[in-house]
Amino acid sequence: MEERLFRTDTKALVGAVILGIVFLIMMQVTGRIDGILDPTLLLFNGTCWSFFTGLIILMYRQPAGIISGLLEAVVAMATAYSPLAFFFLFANTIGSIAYSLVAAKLSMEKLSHHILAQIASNVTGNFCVMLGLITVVHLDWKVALVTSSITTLVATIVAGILTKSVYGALKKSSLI
Amino acid sequence: MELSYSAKHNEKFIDKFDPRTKLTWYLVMIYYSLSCETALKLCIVLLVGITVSLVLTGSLKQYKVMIMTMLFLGLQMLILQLLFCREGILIYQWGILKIYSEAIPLALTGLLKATIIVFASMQFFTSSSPMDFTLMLMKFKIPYRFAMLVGLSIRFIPLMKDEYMSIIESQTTRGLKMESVWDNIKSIIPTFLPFLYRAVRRSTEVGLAMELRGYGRSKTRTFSSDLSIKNYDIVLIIAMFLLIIISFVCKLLPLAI
Repeated sequence: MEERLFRTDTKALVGAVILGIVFLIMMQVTGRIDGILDPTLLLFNGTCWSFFTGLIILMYRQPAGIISGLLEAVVAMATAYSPLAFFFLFANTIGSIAYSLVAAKLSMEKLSHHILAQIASNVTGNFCVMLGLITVVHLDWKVALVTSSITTLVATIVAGILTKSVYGALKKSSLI
Repeated sequence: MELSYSAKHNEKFIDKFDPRTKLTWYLVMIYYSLSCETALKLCIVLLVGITVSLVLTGSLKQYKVMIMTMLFLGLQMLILQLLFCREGILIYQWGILKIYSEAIPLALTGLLKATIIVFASMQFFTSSSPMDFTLMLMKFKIPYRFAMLVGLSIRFIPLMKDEYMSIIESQTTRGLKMESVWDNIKSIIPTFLPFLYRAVRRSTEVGLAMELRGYGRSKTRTFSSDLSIKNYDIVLIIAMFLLIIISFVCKLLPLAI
């Protein structure tokens, strides 16, 4: 169980940082698109977040997931990329731990396993973002709940499929 | 994306303070941004933050990039509140679109809260060098193998950004359109996948190179500099924590009575 949860070799730590940077660059790219198309739903951003959270944990496990999540949140705060960036600290950490706990129990070979792990990660992560929407943006809790639920639903399905295919491709290419 | 701590900072008054004092100040700002509910109180908190920054660094130039982003965020918040706010009295109705009187004040307080959080974050993360952050993490008993990652990430952000830009340029020369929002959406997969594969390959190479140089071999490590907390830092940290505690108790007190 511990082996499936943790990995603290240098390759995993460096991978966490470098993929964390890829994560934050892609989050900034998708964040700009969402800012124009759907500022409350954040569908592209949510999907990108779920995908990277899942992929980094599958590749490097913990604490890599938390490290890359914190890196993304810190840069988001320092670059004024989102008013909710402070809540990303909690969303990224809690979502990443939730994903790890589910992924450690399952073989992660079937699509359903990826979807289950994404559900755990998305529900916890989007809950933190929902708190941010209520506290900072002052959205009504019902509106915040609806937008977070839609993001969770879309991100779970799309990121689940994407994570499975990209992780499979990375394994086939023997890069990991 | 100016994250790196420049050598110019060395002359500033802010460098006299320990990173832990700056962290506590950051927590104070975040606490007040989340706990204050009126625009006036939030304006005071923001003004205090700006004054402190001006006194300690002598310039507010680094926050210039924040202004446009915050204006864009403010516009987004205003649209959201106009669409979804149901507090106050109805002042305008057009079909299903209803605008209530509280929409603008709520958008304003939301914008002020977001501005304080962003301002405080920029203030904190640009106030010290990556080495100071590493040393601070080590003072919090985090093993150096993890604490050193702060410097590594600061080093790699511009490199990876350049790599991503070079992939975009390569794909553009192959005929990938990047003109409209729709083009940008379509270009995510063709630009992102090569970027991901390059990043994974690079992380493998860097990890191997670091291990070959003995990274993580011993449990301890020496550094060319060290953090030593001064008396005035301790006084400031205690004062700031007291401020948070007193403010928190004052908020709870009416409930207790």
